[in-house]
Amino acid sequence: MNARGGPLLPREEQALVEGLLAGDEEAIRTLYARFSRPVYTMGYRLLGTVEAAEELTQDVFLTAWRKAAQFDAARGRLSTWLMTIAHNLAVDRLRRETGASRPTLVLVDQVPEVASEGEDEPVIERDAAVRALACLSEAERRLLARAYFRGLTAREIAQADGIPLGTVKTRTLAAMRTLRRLLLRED
Amino acid sequence: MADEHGRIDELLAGFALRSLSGEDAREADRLLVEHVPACPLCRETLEGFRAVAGDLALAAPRVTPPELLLARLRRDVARVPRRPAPMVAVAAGLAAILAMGTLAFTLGRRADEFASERNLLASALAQMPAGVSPFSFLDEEGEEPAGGLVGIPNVERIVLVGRGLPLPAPGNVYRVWLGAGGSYVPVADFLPEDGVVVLGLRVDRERFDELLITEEPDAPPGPTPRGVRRWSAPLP
Repeated sequence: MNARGGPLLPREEQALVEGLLAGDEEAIRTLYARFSRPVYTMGYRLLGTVEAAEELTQDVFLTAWRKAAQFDAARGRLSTWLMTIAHNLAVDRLRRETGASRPTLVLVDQVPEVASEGEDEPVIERDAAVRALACLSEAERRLLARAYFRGLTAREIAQADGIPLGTVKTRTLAAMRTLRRLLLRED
Repeated sequence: MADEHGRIDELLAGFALRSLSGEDAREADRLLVEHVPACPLCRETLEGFRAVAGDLALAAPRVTPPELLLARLRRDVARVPRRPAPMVAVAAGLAAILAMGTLAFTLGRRADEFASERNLLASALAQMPAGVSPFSFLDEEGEEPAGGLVGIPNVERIVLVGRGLPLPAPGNVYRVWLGAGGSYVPVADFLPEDGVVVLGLRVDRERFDELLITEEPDAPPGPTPRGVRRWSAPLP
């Protein structure tokens, strides 16, 4: 955790990942403390079981270690890089499990959020994201949640809702553009 | 142009969410290899949408992982063999290039072709990030090709370098695929010239973790590899 207790500066993120690359214990511990919960949560929401979420979390951090040399803080945030790895691995696994039914969407009010003591979370980043999401319509939030946290394709969403595929894609783009504009403003 | 980028933005948004399928997914893959790397506007859009997707992950209410996971992770990291020192690997790569240069001249290749390829190789080596080294391709038996086939990774691309490669069967080509989780995307075809290949590839290494080379008919690629698997390598 940095001295200010908030999000890391780009040079701090770069140093952290270089520490990970070097196998530095403190870097591994710091990275895990900051990101294990969102990674594990993503695994749990997309894959539906504790076992799958644990395996995904292991895979994500090992992949991050293997690919640490690719991270460039000048090109984007550490959270973006790591959560992209996590989401890609989770969706690949979900779509590979042919014949398995998708887990029921874990609803917000069914997931107890337990704060851990001494947790080094980037609270400020999360608050900005929550505020930005609140500016979307309920329909847009639901669309993004189904695409991102259930791994549904636009075609599957269109078929489920009985609306044209083009409409789903247009709404998705509009929501993503809105969030991008709001989050850039927060930065 | 505005309409074209509107359509591209739609695909990039879906790509960032992993919500594309069918022809949209194939079109996005083509754009990511052929258009986005050279278009500053699209690169900025893609990075922006990726950041949004990452923030979606952060915004969700949390589930706490079990305490044992950190211990398991530290054990797994400690178990993986140390990578070779970067300077040793760079020296090895440079030696391979010099050896190839000698081979190229021996075979009488045009000086300007060789110069262009040597510049590509030299810049690829110079742009290797710290802690990264060239990686080898192996066949199904775990053996390296006789003359050698390596990948030189940079931040946004990988340069394949090979020599002594046999020609594929008449009517076939070697096809390079990017893979992740058992799914593959075709990115390039090549034929060795005098056994030599030097091929630069744009690679999204946040998405893919494997390079596969198969032998396929010289025709437009299908969605999955169908030919003989010749060599593969995990992406570093």
